[in-house]
Amino acid sequence: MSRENKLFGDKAFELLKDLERSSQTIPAFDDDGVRQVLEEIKAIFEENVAQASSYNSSGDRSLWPLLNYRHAALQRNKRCLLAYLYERSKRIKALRWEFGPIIPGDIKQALCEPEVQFFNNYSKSLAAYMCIAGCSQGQGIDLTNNLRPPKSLYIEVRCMEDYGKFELDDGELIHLKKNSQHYLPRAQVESLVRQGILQHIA
Amino acid sequence: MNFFPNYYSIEDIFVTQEKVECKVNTKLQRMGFLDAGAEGDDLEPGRSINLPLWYIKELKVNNAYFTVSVPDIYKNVHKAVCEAETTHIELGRLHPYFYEFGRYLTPYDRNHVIGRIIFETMRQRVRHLLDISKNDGQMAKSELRLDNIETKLHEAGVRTNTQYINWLQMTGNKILISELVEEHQKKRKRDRSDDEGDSLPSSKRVTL
Repeated sequence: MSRENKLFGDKAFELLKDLERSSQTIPAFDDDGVRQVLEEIKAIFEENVAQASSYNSSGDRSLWPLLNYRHAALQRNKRCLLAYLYERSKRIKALRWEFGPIIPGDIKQALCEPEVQFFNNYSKSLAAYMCIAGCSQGQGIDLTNNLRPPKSLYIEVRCMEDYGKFELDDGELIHLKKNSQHYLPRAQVESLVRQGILQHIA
Repeated sequence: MNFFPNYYSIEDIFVTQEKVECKVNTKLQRMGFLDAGAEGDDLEPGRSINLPLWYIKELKVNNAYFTVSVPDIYKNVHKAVCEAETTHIELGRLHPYFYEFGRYLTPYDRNHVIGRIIFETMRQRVRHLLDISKNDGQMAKSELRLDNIETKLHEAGVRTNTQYINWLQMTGNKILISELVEEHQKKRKRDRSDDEGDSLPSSKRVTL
């Protein structure tokens, strides 16, 4: 056993520390870190198996504490890894609610392939659920809309960036140019406000 | 904030990463790697080593291998608790997870005071916490004053207070930009100005 791997479990903890430090949006998936932890787990497991089998044949209990310690380290690594993945999946779910069905490119780069898959599946399930939820009215309900009770049908908004054309439900086309102001139906522009393209001013 | 931490709780993992000082009771073969000052491969009895909580937790309280010694911070707080002066303690400096760490250590405390100490400390401080939360978060934000749980309570208090005031003034009706999006935009802006600072035509610039 080499001395430099000291107490075990430090790498796995590092993963979580980096994740915590990065506040809300998601940091890049740490491929390398995860692989190192998996390797550590494998190494511990193999050593333990070797020792356990020698214990079975000789019945020598003197190495028992060591076996115990390594087993705890293995469990610890596993817990850290799973918590890392779980926390990321929680943030990915939040992305769907906050950013809508399309992830901005730079955030997408931070996800690994299975995570993109997970996002797509989650998005699909949510869409399917929203269809069923409004079934009695004959159409789906967008659950990401109307997060606060609406006080008026129309709201005044200012455009924060050049967005381009935007078509309302009745077919009217609106040019959303930076700094232009509009009086628009609340229900149709809420998501644009949430995404920071429009600002609600009155 | 988690009194019954689940398996995935990152906070609980942070707490259990803390090191506890232990005394070795028996010779433990080939475990010398736990002791930075050890010469041989084995762990000799009588030595004091720091072990992570996640390992201690797995052992029985009165196991034959190690004796856990309770950190001094809890002894030091004891006096303040008796004199009801805990609001002045910089709890965050003593330990960032004062309460949760203490909870894990209670079984190892032979005098059975830690449990009472952390309970009393919280009881005496929570009133003060309420006061500073009402103060709109303007209290000289010294992070060392509060431990992890208290910081969270403080944040929740400030947030609730603002929401209540917004409701009273009827200003909460506007649709707001989502917090995640806002943070993301700020970050992008920062990156962008960094890129221009480098004066390199960056291909990294992201379009929506």
